[in-house]
Formats: sequence, structure tokens, C-alpha cells
Amino acid sequence: MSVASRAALGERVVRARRRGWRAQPYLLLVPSLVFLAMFTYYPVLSSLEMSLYQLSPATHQQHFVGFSNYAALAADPVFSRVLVNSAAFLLGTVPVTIALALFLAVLLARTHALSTAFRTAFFYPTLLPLVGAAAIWLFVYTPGYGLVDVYLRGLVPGGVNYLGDPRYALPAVIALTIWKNAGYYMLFYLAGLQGVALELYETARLEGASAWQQFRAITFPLLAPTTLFVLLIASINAFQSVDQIWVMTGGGPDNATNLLLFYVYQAAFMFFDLGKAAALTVFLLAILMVIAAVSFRLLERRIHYEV
Amino acid sequence: MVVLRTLAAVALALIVAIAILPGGAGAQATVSLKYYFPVGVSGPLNQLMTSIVDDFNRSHPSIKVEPVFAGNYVEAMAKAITGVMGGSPPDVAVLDTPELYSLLDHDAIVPLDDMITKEPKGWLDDFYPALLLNARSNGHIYSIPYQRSTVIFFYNKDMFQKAGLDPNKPPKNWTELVADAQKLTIRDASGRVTQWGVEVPVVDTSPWTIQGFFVEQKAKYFDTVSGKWVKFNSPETTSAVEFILDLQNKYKVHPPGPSSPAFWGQVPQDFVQQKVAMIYTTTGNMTFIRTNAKFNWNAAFMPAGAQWGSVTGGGSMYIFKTTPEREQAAWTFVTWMTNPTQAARWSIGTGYVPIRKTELSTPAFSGYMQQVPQALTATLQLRVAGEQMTVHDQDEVQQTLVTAIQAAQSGRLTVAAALDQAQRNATQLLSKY
Repeated sequence: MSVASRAALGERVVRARRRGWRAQPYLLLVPSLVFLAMFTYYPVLSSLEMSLYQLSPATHQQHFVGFSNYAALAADPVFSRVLVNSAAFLLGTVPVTIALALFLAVLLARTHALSTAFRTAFFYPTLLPLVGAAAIWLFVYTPGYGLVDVYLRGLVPGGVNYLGDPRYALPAVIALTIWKNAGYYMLFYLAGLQGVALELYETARLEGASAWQQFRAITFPLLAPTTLFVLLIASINAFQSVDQIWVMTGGGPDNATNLLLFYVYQAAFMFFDLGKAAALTVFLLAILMVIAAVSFRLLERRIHYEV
Repeated sequence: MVVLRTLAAVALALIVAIAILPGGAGAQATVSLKYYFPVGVSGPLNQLMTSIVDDFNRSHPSIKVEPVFAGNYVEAMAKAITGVMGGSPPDVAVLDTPELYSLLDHDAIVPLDDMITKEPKGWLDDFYPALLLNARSNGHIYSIPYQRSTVIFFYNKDMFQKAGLDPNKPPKNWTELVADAQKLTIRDASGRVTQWGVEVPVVDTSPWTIQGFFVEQKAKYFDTVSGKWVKFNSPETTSAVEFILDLQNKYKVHPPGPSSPAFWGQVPQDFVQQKVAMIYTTTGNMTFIRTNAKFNWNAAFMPAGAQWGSVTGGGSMYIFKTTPEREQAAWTFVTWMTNPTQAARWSIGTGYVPIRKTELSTPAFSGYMQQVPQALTATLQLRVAGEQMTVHDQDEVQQTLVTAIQAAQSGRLTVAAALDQAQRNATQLLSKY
């Protein structure tokens, strides 16, 4: 064996060993990768593909139709209604839920006699399955003898059919969603507050800062990473809401509460229009990806305080 | 090495044995059938269904039916069609009867004509004709009625008495309905209604109850032969929807606003809570009302419009395309489930209407009728009931009508504009057939 070939062999061995070394992390990732591929990547790619086809139900044959499923969405008046509803739902739930969660967390951050009881009480809606909570609220909103109508009757003469009236149906669903989620996000804020150094407040008090000033100058900025995280989760949740719509309104009346994911369900499993359902799914995925991308950019960049 | 080889041999032998064994027991072959059933009304019906199916399995050793609870009608249909598309359909299923064309368009079900001709003569004639109307298409029959219902009218006799009305004279037509409802609507000093005259859930997840009013106005609102067209915006349908709006807005004897799935559930609840004097709902709720109403009540025909009428609803048994052997076993199951004794068992347990004439003379049903004489009213009303709309793209076409009627009830569109819109959308959907 020549010197040159021996050198070449040695190099190959080193390279192979290096390659082998590199394979290990991938091997460790395989189990989760398999599941991600099966339940996430494959369905996503398959939706992308299906959105370009129209399924003929009788023969189970797919016809390639290009982007015509997307074009049909653009011309679909129900779809534009659904988009407006989803935007209203996002703006109606996310800021209020986050503000409420922060408020509750700040109130309950300090330990006193009843704080555990209150924390439990506010966290309790999170423990209920959403379907169950929606069924309870369906009764709460019943005109005539439901809790809400009984107590608010004096304000609105004649009472209100909350879920039956297109003007109030979406706000009624929004109210339930806020009640359901605020306690959950409160938990994140309570955890975030543990990381805020108490000396900061001591110093602020020595300087004569009011409670509101302390909140504005210390608590809120230092909780910014938590806020951003909760914002991300809450926005994604808003687009994934479907249980309460299914139980309380079925998307009605007159499509007043039809949200994006429910519309996907309708198209896929009530009307079996799989091409349309796939196009809607791709649209929904795009929205979620934009939200995720923007949030992670922000998380990486700006908000990182060291104390 | 030897150990490994022995292990491999044992494993191989096991695999072969497992592959052969079912063939060895082939002489006593049992057919396993998957049976999807939905539950559309409240009550512990799961258990009843399971015990009925158990009885079938005990009396038919060569067939084993596995009952699968499949949710409500919409979910059951979604499960069945998903199974069909994935190549593993159920063998037999109770599905909402008007899904006929959706099932045919998926090439999912088999016609039952041949199997029916092999039954004793007159077997099919024992079923109520009204219930068979939407089992037929283009001269073939595709389903056998099972848990069938119809829209019926319930009223609170005590409230009639208090309002100075004869509790044994429910309104006979729309004019009397308005007059009675006006007497039965009670407002407090502030003008708030404490008791409504009447409640009609015209639409829920589907436009069902409103179709009873369409039939009463003699509307020909869909293609009864091949399910290829609808006519939602005729003078007859318009007058029916306008009558409902008049109850709400002109006479103010009915709660305002659109009907919805929530309202559908609320109406029987309002009735037993004595918040309303007269309601329209499914016969399937009779058991609920019977067990919860703490007052005298009665069932009656829907007050007549241009004629007496109502609409049928509920689920029928469909047999799915599989193999001739399985389809035959499924047929055996269907005929057993719909025999008078079993049908009576299900009707009594649920409140659904009797599906065949001989069912009424079974001992169980005669006893039930003495206990609940109102149960007969629904059966008698079947004579004037029309069939529920049954067209291609059933669910999507229904949705256009639901949305339109809700838009008219909320005042967003006029009745004419709303029904025109539904007609346009439905025509577009049906244009591909």
C-alpha cells in the first residue's frame, strides 16, 4: 500500500468517524421526528397538495384544479364573513384576557391568607374541559331563566337572547373564552413575577414611587417576555377555537359566530368539500406561521432584561 | 446462535399457526358487522341500543354485530363517509334519512329492492308510507325506517284553562293559533313577557320544522324524484316564513330573533319550565316532556295552514357496499331490528314514532298507549306529513336555507331577498348534478 493511499484511507476513516459522530444527534431526534412527520409535516404537505385538487366523491378521483379552490374562497361571501369574525374574536379575546390575567397575577402575587383560595378560584375554569364549560354557559345565556339574563334583565328591557341574536352571539362566545383562559395566563404571570427582584420595589418605594409608577417602571417591562409568550399562545388559541362554537352556536345565527377552524370543519366533515377545506387549512396555517415567526423574532431580539 | 435459530423457528411456527387457525375454524364462520348508530334525543339510549344488539347477537350465532355509538347525526354521517373514503365503511348504519343522495354520490350504499322481494309478500307495505317517501330515488329503495319522528304540537292545558280557553280544543289553523297565542302571552307591568304564547324552532342545524309549514302551504320545494333541484323562493314558502315573522314581530307572541340549535334545545326546556304555552318540536321529545312536565299537557296536530301537514324526520338504516355475504348479514340485522317487537321496544324507549302498522298491536305498545295516549297523535299525523327535503349536497343546501331564514328573522334581509339568496346558492351547488 502506497503512502498516498494509506493517507487517503486514514482520511476516509476520520471522515467516516466524524460522520458517525454527527449521526448520533439525529438518531436521538428520530423518535420525535417520526411523530412530528406523521402527525404534523405529512398532514401539512398533504393539505397543501389537496388544496390544488377537487375530489369527485363518487369515484374518489381527484382532479387537478390549480388555484381555483383559493379563487373560490376569495369570491365566497361566507369566507369574508368568517375572516371578519375571526379578527373580531382575536381582538375581542386576546388583549382583554391578557390584561385580566396580568391584573389578577399582580393582585395575587403577594402571599396572604386568602391568596391560595383566590388563585385556585381564578385558575379553576382552566381545569374544566372547554366543551363542558361551553355547555354550562349555553345554559347561563338561556333567555328567560339563564343566569345572565336574570341578572342583566334590568339593564336591557325585554331581556336579550344572547346566542340567538347575531349582534350579541359573538361577544357572548368571546366572554366565555375570556373567562376560560384568563386564569391559565395568570399562572404564567405569577411565574414571571417570581423572577422580579424585590429590591427593585424597595428602591422604588424609597424614591417615593406610587404603586402605579412601580407597575409601569418595573413590573410591566420586566414581565415583557411573559407578555410576549402569552400573546403568542393566546393568538394561536384564538385561531384554534372551535369547541365552544360547536357546542353553543354551530357557527350561527346567520354565520355570526362562524370562525376559521369551524368553517374548515364544516367544509370537510359536513359538506365533504375536501379541496375547499384543504385551501382553508393552508390559509389558517399561513396565519399561524406568521404569528409564530413574528413572535419568535421579537422574543430573540428585543426583550431580554438582565437584572 | 443455536438459541437464536430455535427462537426464529418457534416464531415462524407461531405465525403460520395464527395464519391457519381462523381458516381451520372456518366451518363455523361468523360474520362480524360494524354498526354505527347516532343518538338524536336525550336519555340513556346507548344502553338500550346495546342490549337490543346483544339480543340479536345471542339469537344469531353466525353474525356478530358490533354497535358503535357515532355521536349526533352530523357526526355519524362524518364518521361513515370518512370510513367509506378510507376504504373501511361500516356495514350498516342509522343515518339521517335525507343523506340519501350524499351517500349515493359517494357510491357508499346498496339498493335494497332485491332483498325486499325475498321477504314475505307485503313486508314493506306494513311500514307507514310517509316514512318510506324519502327512502326512494329513481325507482329504487335505499333505506328502511328506524328511528323516525315528525314535527308535532304540544300545549299546556293548565295555561289554556287560566286564559279562558278550552283545554281540549287546541288551535286548528293558523288564525286560531294567533288568537290563542295572543291570549296566552302574558306581560308584567314593565311590559316584559313572562309567558310566551308559542315557540317554533323553525331552523336548528337543519331547516327541519319550517318544512312542516312549507307542507302546510302546499309548497313543492324540492325534486322528490331525483333530488336535483330546490324551489325555496315560491309564494308558498315565502308565506310560511312570513307567518313565522308575523308571530314574532306583528303579533309579538313568539320570542324575537333567529332560531338556532340552541333555541331548538331551549324550546322543550321552556315548555316544561312553563315559560311558553304552545310549542312545536319533535315527537322524539315526548318522553322528556312526559317525565319533566308538572302540569297537564297534550299533543296535537300542527295547526293547519292551507292544509293539514307536518314533516317527517329522523334516521333510517342504510346498508353499505361491502361484499355480498356481509350485505346479506346486514340485511338480516336490519329486518330483525325493524321487526314489530324490536321496533316497539325502541319506540317506547325513545318516543320515536312507530314505524309499522303491526307494531301498534304488539302487547308492549298497547300497554304504552294506555299510559301515554298522546303517542297516538304523532302516528295519526303521519297521514298528512310530507317528506323531508332530500337532495344532492344535502348538508350544504340545507345550510343555505338555515342561513337565509336566520337572516330574515334577524331583519338583515327581507323574506323575499333571503329566500332568493338561498335559491341562488342552492341552485349553484346543485348545478353539477
